[in-house]
Amino acid sequence: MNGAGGAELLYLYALVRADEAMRALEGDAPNGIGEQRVHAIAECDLAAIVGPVPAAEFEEAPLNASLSNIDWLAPRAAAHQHVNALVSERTSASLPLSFGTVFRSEDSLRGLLRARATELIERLDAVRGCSEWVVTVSRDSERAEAALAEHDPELARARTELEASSPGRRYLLERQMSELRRRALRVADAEATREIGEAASRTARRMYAEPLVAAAESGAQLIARSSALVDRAAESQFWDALEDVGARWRARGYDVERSGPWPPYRFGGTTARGVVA
Amino acid sequence: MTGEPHLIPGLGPEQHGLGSLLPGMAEGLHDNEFSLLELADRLLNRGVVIAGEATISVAGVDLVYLGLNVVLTAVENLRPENVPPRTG
Repeated sequence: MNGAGGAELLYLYALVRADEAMRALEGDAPNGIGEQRVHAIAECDLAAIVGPVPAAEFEEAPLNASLSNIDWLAPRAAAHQHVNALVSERTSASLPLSFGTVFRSEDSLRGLLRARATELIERLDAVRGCSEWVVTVSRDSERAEAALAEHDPELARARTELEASSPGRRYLLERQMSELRRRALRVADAEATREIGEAASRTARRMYAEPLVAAAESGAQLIARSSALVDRAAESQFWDALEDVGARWRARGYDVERSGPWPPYRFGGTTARGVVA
Repeated sequence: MTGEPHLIPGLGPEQHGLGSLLPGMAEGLHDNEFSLLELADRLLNRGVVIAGEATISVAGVDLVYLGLNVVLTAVENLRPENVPPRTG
C-alpha cells in the first residue's frame, strides 16, 4: 500500500460508538491523510476511526518540525477534517481527535480505549446530535467610529465644541475627543460581545469563550470569538438569532461571522465543568 | 445534509499553495468552506487530547497558530495587487 514501504503509525481521526462505525464508513469510506483508506477498530462499545501514516512524518520530532510548514500542513489538516466531517455527518455523535494523534500499534490503541471507555462514552453522549460553530465578532473601526460620532451624545457635543474652538484650544480638545472616542469604542465592544453572546447562547447547548490571538493591526479588529455547541435540529434558529443581532450591530460597525458546522473539536475535548456557560 | 464533502478552498491535493487559499477567504466563506487558519484553529490542540505513552502530542501549538495567523494576514494584505483582472 505504502509506496515508500517505510514504517507506519496508526493515525486516530475520531471515536464513535461501535454500533455506528459501519454507518460512518459505509459506501465510499473516506480517504484520510496521504489518500489512505480509513477503517474502524472496535473495542468496549467504542470504535476508533484510523488510517496509516508514515512514521517518518508523524513521529514526534518530524511532526513538530513540519507543523509550521504550511505546504506540509494544509493537505494533511484538510484530510483530517475531511474524515471527521464525514464521520460527524453520518453518526449521531463523534469525538474528533486533535491533529497528530498517532499510535505505534493497534494493541496500544485498544488498551487506551479499554482504559478510558467510560469517560469517552460520556463525552460522546455530551455532544450527541450536535455540531460546533465558531462565532466571531469584529469591529471595523472606521465604521464604528462613524456610527458613534452620529449617535453618541457626548461625542456629538465634543465635536460641536471642537468646531467652534479657537486654534489654541483645538489641540487640547482634539486629544480629549480621541480619549472619549476610545472609551466609547471600548463600551461598544463590551456591549456587542455581550449581546451577540447572549443571542448565540439562547439556542446553543454550550458556549465556550475562545482566547483571542493578537492579530496584525489592520482594518478589522477581532473583538470576541466563541465556540457554540448547537443541536443540529436547532441550527436554523441559531443562524436566525445571529443574523438578527448581526444586522443590528452591522449598523454600528461590528460584523458577526459564523463558521461551521464543525465536528465538536472544542466540546469533545472539554469537560462540562471547564465550559463557560 | 448530504454526504457531499466539505469544500476547503485551495486545499485539494493539486493546489495547496497559500495563494489559492485566499480567494475563499477574501470573498467571505460560505458554510462548510474553511480557511487553513480556521482548520489550524480547530484541529491543533483541540479535540480529545489523549496523553499516554503510545500517543504523540503536538507541541508548541500556540506558536504555530500565531505564525500561521501572521503569514496569512501578511499574504492577504498583499492581495489587492494580485486580484485577477476583470474579464472584458
